[in-house]
Amino acid sequence: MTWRKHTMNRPGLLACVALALVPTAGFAFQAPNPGEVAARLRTGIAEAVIAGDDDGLAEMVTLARRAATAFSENGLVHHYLGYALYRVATLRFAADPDGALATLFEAESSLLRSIELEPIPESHALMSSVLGRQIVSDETAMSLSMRAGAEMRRAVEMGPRNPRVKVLEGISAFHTPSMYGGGHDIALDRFLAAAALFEEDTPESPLPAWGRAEVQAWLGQTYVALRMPEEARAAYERALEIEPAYTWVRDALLPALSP
Amino acid sequence: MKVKVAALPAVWVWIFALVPADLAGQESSRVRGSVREPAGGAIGGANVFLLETLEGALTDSAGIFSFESAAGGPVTLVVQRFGYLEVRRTIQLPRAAPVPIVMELAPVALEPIRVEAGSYRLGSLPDVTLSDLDVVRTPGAAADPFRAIQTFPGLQNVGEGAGLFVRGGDISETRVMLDGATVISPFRLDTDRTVSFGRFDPFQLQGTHFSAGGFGVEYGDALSAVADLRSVGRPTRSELNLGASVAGVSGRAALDASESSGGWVTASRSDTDFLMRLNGRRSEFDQVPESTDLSGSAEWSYRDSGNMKAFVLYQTDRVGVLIDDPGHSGTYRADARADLLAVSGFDVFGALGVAWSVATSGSRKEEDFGAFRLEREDRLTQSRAKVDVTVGRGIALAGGAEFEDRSADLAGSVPTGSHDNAPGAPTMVFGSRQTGSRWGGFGEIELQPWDALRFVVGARADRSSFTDRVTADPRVSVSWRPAANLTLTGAWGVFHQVPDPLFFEPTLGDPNLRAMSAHHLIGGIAYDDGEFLVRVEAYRKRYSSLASQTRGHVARGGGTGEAAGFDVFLKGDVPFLGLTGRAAYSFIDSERTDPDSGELAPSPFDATHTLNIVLTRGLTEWLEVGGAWRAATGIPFTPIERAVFQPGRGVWEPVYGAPNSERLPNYARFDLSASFLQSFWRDNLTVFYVSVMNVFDRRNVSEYRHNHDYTGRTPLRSPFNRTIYFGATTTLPF
Repeated sequence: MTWRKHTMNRPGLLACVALALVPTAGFAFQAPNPGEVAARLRTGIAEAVIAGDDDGLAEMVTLARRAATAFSENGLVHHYLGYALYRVATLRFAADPDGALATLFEAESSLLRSIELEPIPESHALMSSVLGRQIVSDETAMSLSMRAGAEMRRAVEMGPRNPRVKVLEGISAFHTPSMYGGGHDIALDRFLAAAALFEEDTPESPLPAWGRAEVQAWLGQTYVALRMPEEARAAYERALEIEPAYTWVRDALLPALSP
Repeated sequence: MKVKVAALPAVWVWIFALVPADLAGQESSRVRGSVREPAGGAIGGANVFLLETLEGALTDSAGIFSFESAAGGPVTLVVQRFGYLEVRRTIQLPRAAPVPIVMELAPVALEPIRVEAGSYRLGSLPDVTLSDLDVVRTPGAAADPFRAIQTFPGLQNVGEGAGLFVRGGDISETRVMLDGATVISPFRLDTDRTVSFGRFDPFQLQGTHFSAGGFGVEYGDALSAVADLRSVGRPTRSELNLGASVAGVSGRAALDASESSGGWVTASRSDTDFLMRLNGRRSEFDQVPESTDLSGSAEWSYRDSGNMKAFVLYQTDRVGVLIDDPGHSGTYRADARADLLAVSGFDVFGALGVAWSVATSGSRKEEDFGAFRLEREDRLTQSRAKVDVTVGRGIALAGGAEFEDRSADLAGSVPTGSHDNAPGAPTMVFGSRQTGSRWGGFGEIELQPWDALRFVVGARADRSSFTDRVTADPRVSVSWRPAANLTLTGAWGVFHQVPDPLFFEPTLGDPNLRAMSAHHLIGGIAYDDGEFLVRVEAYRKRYSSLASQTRGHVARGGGTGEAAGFDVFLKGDVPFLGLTGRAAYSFIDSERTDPDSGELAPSPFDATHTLNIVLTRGLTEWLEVGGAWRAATGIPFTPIERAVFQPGRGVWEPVYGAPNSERLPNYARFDLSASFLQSFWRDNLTVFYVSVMNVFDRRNVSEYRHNHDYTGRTPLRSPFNRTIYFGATTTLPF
C-alpha cells in the first residue's frame, strides 16, 4: 500500500478538513445525508432478507421510518421504507394476516409518496405487488387488480429491462391462476428473462440492487411446480453460489427437494 | 493519524459520517428516558430517535429507552408510535437527566367522507356499494344494472320493467348518463305494452354512481334521480368471450393493444323463441322479442394524466304482443332502434382537472295497435365540460357548462277516445317536429375543514329554448362523521327538468309549458364498519309545474305534487349459514296532479312499502347460489266505474272513478340463481349460470282487463310467471 495510491481525492480531503475544524461544543457531528442512509437501507434490507433475519428487517423498517421523517422529500428513502414493509408483510402473512394487511397499507402510502417524489420502476412494480397482496375479497378484487395492473404497466414502461420489475412480474404470475392471466409457464418466462437481465444489471448505489439470488429461488420454485426437479435443484444451487448464506434456499427450498 | 485518514479516505468519510463526534474529540453521550401515556401507562415499541443523526432505540415494555449518541449541542428528539401523536422535543447533549416523554393518543385516522345523501356506487370502482359481480349475481336482475339498482332503497316497485321510479317520481325523472353524456333512451322495449330492459350490460360498465335525490349541481335537467354510468375502457388483457343462452348468442373481442391503448367490440343477437316455448309463453306473442346489439369502445391514455375514450352502441328491437282490449283485440307491434356515440376524456394539469364529453344519442320507435300508429324519432347532441381545482387543503372548486341540441319527430294517428282502438276508429292524425336547445352552467365549492366534515354548496342555471326561461337551482349538501363508521348526511336543493319536447307540440301539447320543478330535503344516518352497512334516510320532495300526458296522449302542465318517506338499507354478512346479502326497505306517501281530472291524487308510482332482500352464498370457490325476494304494495290505478254505449261506433266508453283511488294487489316474487365457474384450459374462464324467476309462480297482477261493456274485470297476470333461463360464457385468449 503506497501513499500515492491511496491519496484522498480533493473533495474527500476537504470534507475531512472541514470536519476536523468543526467546533466540539455544539453540532460536533456530521448529519447523515439521505443518499448515505438509502445506501445503508439497501444493504441492510438485502442482508436481512438473505439471512432470513426478521429482527434485522425490523431494524431496517425502524431506520427507514426515521429516515422518512428526517428526509421527508427524498423519494428513495420512502421507496426503501415501502420495500422493507413489503418484505415484513410478506413474512407475516401466514401468521398474522390482519397485521400484514396493516403493514401493506403503510407500504402503499410510502410507495405512493416515493412515486410522487422520485418515480423509479421498482416503486411502481412494488406498488403493484403491494396492491395485489391486499386483495382479500371479491369486492376489492377488481379495483385492486386494475390498479395493480396499471402500476405494473407503468413499471414495465419505465424500466423495460429492469430485472427487479421482471421478478415481481414473475411472482405475480406465479400466484395468479392461469384463467386470470397468470400461471407457472408465464412465471417461468419472466423469471428466465429476469435472470438474463441481471447479467447486465449494475445499478449505482443507492439505487435498488436486490433480486439476483432471489430470482433463482423463484425459478427453482417454478420448476418444482412444473415438475422439473433437476432444473429446480440447479436454480437453487445457483442461488447459493450468488448468496451462500441465503437461508430460505439453504434451509427450506433445497431440503424440500430431497426425496 | 492524518496519514491514516489520507490513506483510507472512503473508510474515514464513512466513519466521519456516522461517528463524527469521536473524530472531533467529542465524547459520546447516552440519551435515556421513558415514554408514557398521559395516565402513566408505559408505551412499548415507540421509535425514539434524534432527527439529526437518526440514532435511536425502541422503547421496551416498560416504556424505557436508552441509546448512545455522538451528537452534541441542541438536537431534536423524535418519538413515534402507531396510534399516538408524534412528539418532538429539543434537548441539549450531552445530557445526564432522563427525558420523560408523554404521548397523546392520535384521533382515529379516517378516510375523507365519501357518503353523500341519497347516493350509492356500483361497479369495479373503489368504494362501491355494489360490485359488478354483485350486479351479475343479483337473482332476478337478468344481469341488468338497472334491475340491480332497483334493489336499492328509494326505488318503488312499479311493474316488472327495468325503469327507475325514484321516491315518487316518474321514470322520465331519472337522468341516465354514460361517460358524461345523457342517454336519450336508456331502456329498450320501453312501451306501455312491453317489459323494458336496460340498454347496457354490466361488462360494458366500469361503474355507476346512482343518486336517489339531493345530487350535485353538475347534474341538470333531472327532477328526481341520476344514474351516472362509466363505460369500460381499455381492457387489461386481450381475449375473446363467447356466450350462449336460451335467448341468444353473443361475442366480445377485447384487445390490449399497447401500454396506453386498447379497446373492445361486442355483438349479440337475441331471439327469445326458445325461451318462450320453454316457459310456455310462446302463444302470447305474434313476434317474440328479438334484438341485435353492436357496441364497442376504444381508450387511449396519451399521457400519465390524460385520457380519451370513445363508446359506440347500436341496437335494434322488435316485438309483437297479442292484446285483448275491450276496444280492440289484435297484435301490438313495436320496432325500435337506438344509437349512441360518446367521446369523452379527462386531463390533469397540476391542481386542475378537466373532464369533457361530446355525444350524440338517438332513438327511433314505431308502434302499431289497431287505429293507433305512432312513429317517433328523437336525437340529442350534446357537449359538456367540467373543471375541478383544489385550491388548498380541504377546499375544492368545480364548475362547468353543457349544451344540448334536441329534436323530436312524431307522426301517426291516435284514437280520439282511448277506449276505442279498433281499425277505423276516429283518430287524430298528426305529424310534428320539435327542435330546441338547452344551455346550462354550474359552479360549486366543496369545503372539508377536517376529515369528519364536508360541505358542498353550489348553484346551476339552465335556459331551454322550449320553455324560453332561465331556471336557477341552488343546492347544498353536508356530511358529518361524529364517530368512527358513523356518518350523518343532509341535502337540500332545487331541481328543474324540461318536459318532453313533444309536450310542447301545439296539437297534443302546450307550447307554454314551464320547466318542471322539485324541492328535495333529505336527512340520513349511515353506519359502515367495512363489513356491515346500515343506511337510513328520510326525505320530502315538493313538485310544481309538473307536465304529463292524459290517457288520450294530451299533454297537461301546471301539476303539483309531494312525496315523503324513508328508506332503510342493510348490507353485510348474515350471521348464519354463511350468507351474504343486502336488504332495502322503502316507505313512501306521495301524491301528484292527475292529468285527466286535474285533481291531486295518489301518485301512480306510489308503492307504499317496497322490500328487496338479496342473499347469496358461495358453496365452493367456484359455485355460488343466490336468492332474492321482492315484495311491494300494489300501485294505485284509476278504476272504471261504468260505461256508456256509443251507438255510432258500437263500442262502450268507460267512465272513470276517482283518480288512483284503488290499488293493484300486493306484489311479491322470489327468484333463484346459481353460477358455476370452471377453467378448462390455461387462460380459460367458463361461467355456467341458471336462473329461475318467480320460483313459486305467484300470480302477480300488472293491470285489470275489462270485458267489452266494462261490467266485469279480470286481473292480467304480470309477464314474469315462473321462468327458467340458463346459459354459459367462456373466454379464449388471443
